[in-house]
Amino acid sequence: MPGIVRIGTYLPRHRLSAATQGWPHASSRAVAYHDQDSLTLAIEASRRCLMGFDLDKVDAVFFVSTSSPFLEKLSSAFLAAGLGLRSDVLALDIAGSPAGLGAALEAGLGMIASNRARYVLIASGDCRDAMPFSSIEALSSDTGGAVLLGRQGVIAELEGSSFLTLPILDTWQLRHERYLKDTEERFIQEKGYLSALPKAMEGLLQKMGAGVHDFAYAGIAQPDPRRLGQAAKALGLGQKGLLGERLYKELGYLGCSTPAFLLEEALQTMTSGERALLLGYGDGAFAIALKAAQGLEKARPKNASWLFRDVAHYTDILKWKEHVLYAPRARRPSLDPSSPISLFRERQQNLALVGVRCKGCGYPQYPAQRLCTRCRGTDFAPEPFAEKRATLFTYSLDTLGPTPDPPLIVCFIDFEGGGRMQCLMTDADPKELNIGMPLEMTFRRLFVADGIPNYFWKCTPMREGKS
Amino acid sequence: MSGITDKIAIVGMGCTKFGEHWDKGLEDLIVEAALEAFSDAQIEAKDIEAAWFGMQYAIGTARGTPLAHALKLDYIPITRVENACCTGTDAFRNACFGVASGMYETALVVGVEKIKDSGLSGLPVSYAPIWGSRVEPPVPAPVQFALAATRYFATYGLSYEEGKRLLAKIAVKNHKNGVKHPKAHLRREISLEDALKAPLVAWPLGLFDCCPVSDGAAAAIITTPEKARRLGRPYTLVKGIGLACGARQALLDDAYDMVHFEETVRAAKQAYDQAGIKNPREEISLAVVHDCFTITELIIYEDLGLSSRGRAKEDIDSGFFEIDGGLPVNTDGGLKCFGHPIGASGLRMLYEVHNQLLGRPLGLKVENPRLGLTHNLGGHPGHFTCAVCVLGQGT
Repeated sequence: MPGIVRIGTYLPRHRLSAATQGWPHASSRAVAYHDQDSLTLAIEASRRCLMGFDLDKVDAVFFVSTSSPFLEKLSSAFLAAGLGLRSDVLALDIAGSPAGLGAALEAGLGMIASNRARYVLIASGDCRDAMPFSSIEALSSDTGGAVLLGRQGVIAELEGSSFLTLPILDTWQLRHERYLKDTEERFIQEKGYLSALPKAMEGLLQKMGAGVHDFAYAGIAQPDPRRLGQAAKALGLGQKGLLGERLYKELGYLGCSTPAFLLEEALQTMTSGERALLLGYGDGAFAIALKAAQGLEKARPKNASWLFRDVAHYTDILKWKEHVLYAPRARRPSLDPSSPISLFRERQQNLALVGVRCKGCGYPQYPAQRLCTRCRGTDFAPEPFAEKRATLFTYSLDTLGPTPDPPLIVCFIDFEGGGRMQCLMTDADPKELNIGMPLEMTFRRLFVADGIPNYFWKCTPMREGKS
Repeated sequence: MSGITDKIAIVGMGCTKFGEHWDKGLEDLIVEAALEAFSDAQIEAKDIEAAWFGMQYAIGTARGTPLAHALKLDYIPITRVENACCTGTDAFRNACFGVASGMYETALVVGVEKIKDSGLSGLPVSYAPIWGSRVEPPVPAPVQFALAATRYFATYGLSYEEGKRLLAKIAVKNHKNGVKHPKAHLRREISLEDALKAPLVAWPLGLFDCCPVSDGAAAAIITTPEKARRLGRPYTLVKGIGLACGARQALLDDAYDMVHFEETVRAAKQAYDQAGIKNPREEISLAVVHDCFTITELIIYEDLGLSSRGRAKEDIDSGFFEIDGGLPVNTDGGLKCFGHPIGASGLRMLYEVHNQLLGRPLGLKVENPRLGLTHNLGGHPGHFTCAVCVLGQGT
């Protein structure tokens, strides 16, 4: 039976919390760094989801977001390129609704059930355009999620689903508007959330001929985490088996990725044969029933790293998210835009970090050379660098460099198995740097100049474990 | 192959004061340096048969004609040379070949830069080739050399404090020398404490580890030794001139140590071989080197063979490179104090060595110099262009 094969989530390194000077809210929230957007978050989650998986078997990729960097242009096409998927995959963006993941699961499952695809990757990412000081800012975290659907190696079967559509102006963003807009909170809850969710759930239970007691766990996506208990109660769900408690408490609402995090949590605790209910809200609601498959215990998803670095000051975020204009640290020429033609020509090299390995002497090098730097050979094989580990060879902290979070960390790194690269380091505390420290690569947006975004890779200190 | 040694005589040199010339334009600087050189050689513009014109930042003027225009040269061939911070020496080098080939008897070399009009701090440098993908990190010059400093400290077990102190001594020395030179940009002495306490630019490099960006021009008139003798003017002779360009090896090859710059080693070897220098530490009387940053000067000591590998610290601590030391380096203050108008710097170095060899330096004097060296470095670690030139006494 088709179902979920793998799952991956990603939390940005930075957090807004009581430790953040000037943070106007009582909550703590994961926040994208200045070089991250919904696409890069989705790629990071997908990399964790697909670690060690044969990428050539993925036949379709969906990008789910309400905050895609592009209005026109498929982020999923960049996602596919960044991950190194085949170029003949079906790429699709599912935009506009925080419940998009439910629709994506249904569509992906349909493709697999009808043998149109072997594996479908669903990646979500959100950096919602919350106005500074707004309650949406207080309640939302920037995160990425990824779910791989397939027929082989299934860890959870998707047994049934039910959908509901509701045209309601609860939270929305018009074209050309800088920020999200929302309406009266109790109206949203009463006529939106608490109206749609029970209907979707009822629909599912009726289809399945089941009752809530048949589900050991329930994951509810709640845009207003303060009202999670209220929602559970209205749905007739008890506190027992209610997923996402820590998630909501420490991170709040995760936008389109909320269902991915809830699924991950479910699949970390369920035992084979147990059922869970997944409920999502947005322009209506969805309800999905899943059953833990045989073999889940051997292939449980791993947590995203919860190791955070607290943002020092709220004004940092105002700069990172471009809420304010600010003067550069030095009078230097402004960044010239990238050439879209050059970006196209080097798309594999830049987006998937593919270099070469010399067939003559075996030395790996990035970027691709026409003649080997060591033996001048001209025969090369492609060599992906994105998943290689590296060590720090040398570094400098540029106090005047173009970054909203000085200093700019410039370094030379040496890849495991050979190869050297000069690159930027991100998500790092300058005080924790030392030569030889272990690093990994991460997909980022270097800058946008003249409306041209430039996605590329940076190195970052290895970040493991749940704290 | 007959080489270049003793085939080129420098008969005239000129150099403007380096600094922030708010009231002077490109033409003013070119004319001032060139007229000083003409007067030094006691020749006129009409005697110049060909010219080489070095300028790095030349938006809309990347050609030879600005030199012709400024000096009203008479339809002579002029070649524009652009080779990063090495531009000045490379213009000189190509002029040498023009004269040594017998094609021309007398040639003019002018290097100039007028960059303070940009209104920018640091170099008006773009970080990557225009029209590229621009995924390379933005690495302005201080960052490039800071990367080498970090690596040098780590390789030789210097703590941050020890490394900073070592570099500060170089800055203090160069200011001490440069303050005596009337044409230097920064005419002030600094203390070790000043250097250590200066704000960071690119960690571990601080403000006084960095040379200033300046406006300025310098010029040379070269000819054959025969004509030099006919002119009856004092002259110096080119003993050797080397140039080496990196191919980004250091950015690609993890075997590269980043505590030496191979381009300097190779350019020096070319020049030493031509000049017959076996032991540079003993044979060279003074060196004027490309101290764009203090760490650069430290690494240059070792790359030129003036100090042993990893032993520059001992020579710095013993004062070996001070004006009264065994081998004075940057007797005019170097880039650090004299300033760095990119296209002019290579020729400014030759100006200092030439005048020292002729016993008429404008600043501090080296006693009885025999051979003088200039070292001019452009670009980034991993892909430098480096020129080394050795001058000797005219006979």
